[in-house]
Amino acid sequence: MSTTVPKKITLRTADNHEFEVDEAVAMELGTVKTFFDENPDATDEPIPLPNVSSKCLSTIIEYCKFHLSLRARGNDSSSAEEEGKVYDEELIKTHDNESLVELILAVNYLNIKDMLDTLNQGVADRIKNKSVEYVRRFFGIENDYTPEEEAEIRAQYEWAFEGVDPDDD
Amino acid sequence: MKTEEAEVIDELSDFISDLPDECLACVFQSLTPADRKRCSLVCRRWLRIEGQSRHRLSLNAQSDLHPLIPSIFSRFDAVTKLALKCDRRSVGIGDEALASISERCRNLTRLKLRACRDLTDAGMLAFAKNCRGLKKLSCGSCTFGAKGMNAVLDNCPALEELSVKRLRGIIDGAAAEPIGPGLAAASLKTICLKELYNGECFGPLIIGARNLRSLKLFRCSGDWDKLFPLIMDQVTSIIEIHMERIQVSDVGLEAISNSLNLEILHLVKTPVCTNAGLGAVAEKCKLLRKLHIDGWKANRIGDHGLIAVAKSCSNLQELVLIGVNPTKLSLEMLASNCQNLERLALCGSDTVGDAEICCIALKCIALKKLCIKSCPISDHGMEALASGCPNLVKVKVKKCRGVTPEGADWLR
Repeated sequence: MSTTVPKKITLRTADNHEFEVDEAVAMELGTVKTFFDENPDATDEPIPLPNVSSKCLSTIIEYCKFHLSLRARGNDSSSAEEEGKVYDEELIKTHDNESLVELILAVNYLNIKDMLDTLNQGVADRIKNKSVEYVRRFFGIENDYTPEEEAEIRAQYEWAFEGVDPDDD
Repeated sequence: MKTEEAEVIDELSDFISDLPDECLACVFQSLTPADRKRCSLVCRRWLRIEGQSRHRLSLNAQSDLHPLIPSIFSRFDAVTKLALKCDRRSVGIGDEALASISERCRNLTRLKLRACRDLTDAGMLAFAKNCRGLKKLSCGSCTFGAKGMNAVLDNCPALEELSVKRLRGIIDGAAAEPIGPGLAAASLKTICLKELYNGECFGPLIIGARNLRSLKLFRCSGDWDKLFPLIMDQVTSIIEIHMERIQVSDVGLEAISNSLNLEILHLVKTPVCTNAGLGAVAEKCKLLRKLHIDGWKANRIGDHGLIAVAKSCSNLQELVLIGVNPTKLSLEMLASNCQNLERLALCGSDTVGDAEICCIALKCIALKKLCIKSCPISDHGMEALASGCPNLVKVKVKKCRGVTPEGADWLR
């Protein structure tokens, strides 16, 4: 029997907090799932997550629990979909840029695709329709172009770009 | 955005640089081209990642583009969908430019050409040899000819979708050079031809496209009555046929009736088609789900043909009749036999009056959307609709002089 995975799994964060979660929740984390797939005989020792803070992990666990419960409701899809959307929007709203990026790094490491897509979309929404200067300031990115280079890229084949057609997908 | 907010953020460190490349690429995927352009100006790293993650590029294909090709395509080195569009007044890119692009975009899956009138057969050949993975080609107002088209068909065995509008190069000479079948015929799923002289020179391609699912012909000259029997003899997979203003009669429809999988038929402004032709299709194509007929007021298709549809096409979901004059006779049968009819449009029908609407209201149980335009109906018909059709969610009534604003209120 290879199903020796315990019903509860303990995760240990970078700042040494331990989280005990249901197996189903832990399996939402791609990295954890891969670990168990590759080590079917793993003991119930806590799994170290050296790249994830306890603050991020508790957000992630909440997210996974919530979306698991939505999926469990199955066919009543339209209202579940709506609730999921509201939850995701709220998740983005309650994170400033810095904590959003920190969360993305954790989710990327843990390999949770849906959550990563949601968070990336959140970043995209924050830089939509903003000027270059604004985007730089917003994310505190240093401009490493010389003024000449920047002017060149700005002017470079400016005319060559066409708007993308809506029928192109 | 408030300025205080931006100032506070000013103090923060460069934390987004922590985002791995693939996350940043994913962020860019959901931005518009204009946003992406701005993002590439943020810093060198963003320029690099934006370029590498751009799969779709649309360029103005003027001849001035040629010297920029190396630089554009080394910045955007992962393009798989490319559109090249020229306007009428400019000189477009030539063969060398297209060849140079194709050398740099060997993974291209889609190409769209618009008004690139300086491309010739030679350019298309060079392109086709480099981009053998092409899945979709759409060209409009280009001037290359049969040889260029054949070069694509011979070199791109994965081609699934071909759309050609106003290809000027194929009009030369009385005996137009045939196009196809080539290696691509077997993989083609959709062929759409618009406004072509000698459209029938695509005959060999269509006949060879044995896995074709959708065939659309708009204003293409040619004797389609002669071609359809040959096509239908070989191609049995078609589920969708659109014909608009092409030379086709009942002979063509007879042939089409052998497409037993046909689900969608648009018969628009083909004035010589009659009830007999429609009847033949209806009788054999029992899977028909969507039927659009624009009779162009020729009155050759009417109750008779529609009764045949009602008798054997019980899957019908969508029926659009323009310039056709059905009466209660056929509408009643359609309503009672086609229990899945969800969308119905009747436009410019002199015979559709209150009696016809009452019959629809009473019997079209599944109807969700109804559109009536330029028909001699009155408030009485509106009243009937208001109390019938339990599943109706949308009704459009336009240019019906007999309906007053008060009458329309019945529906609210």
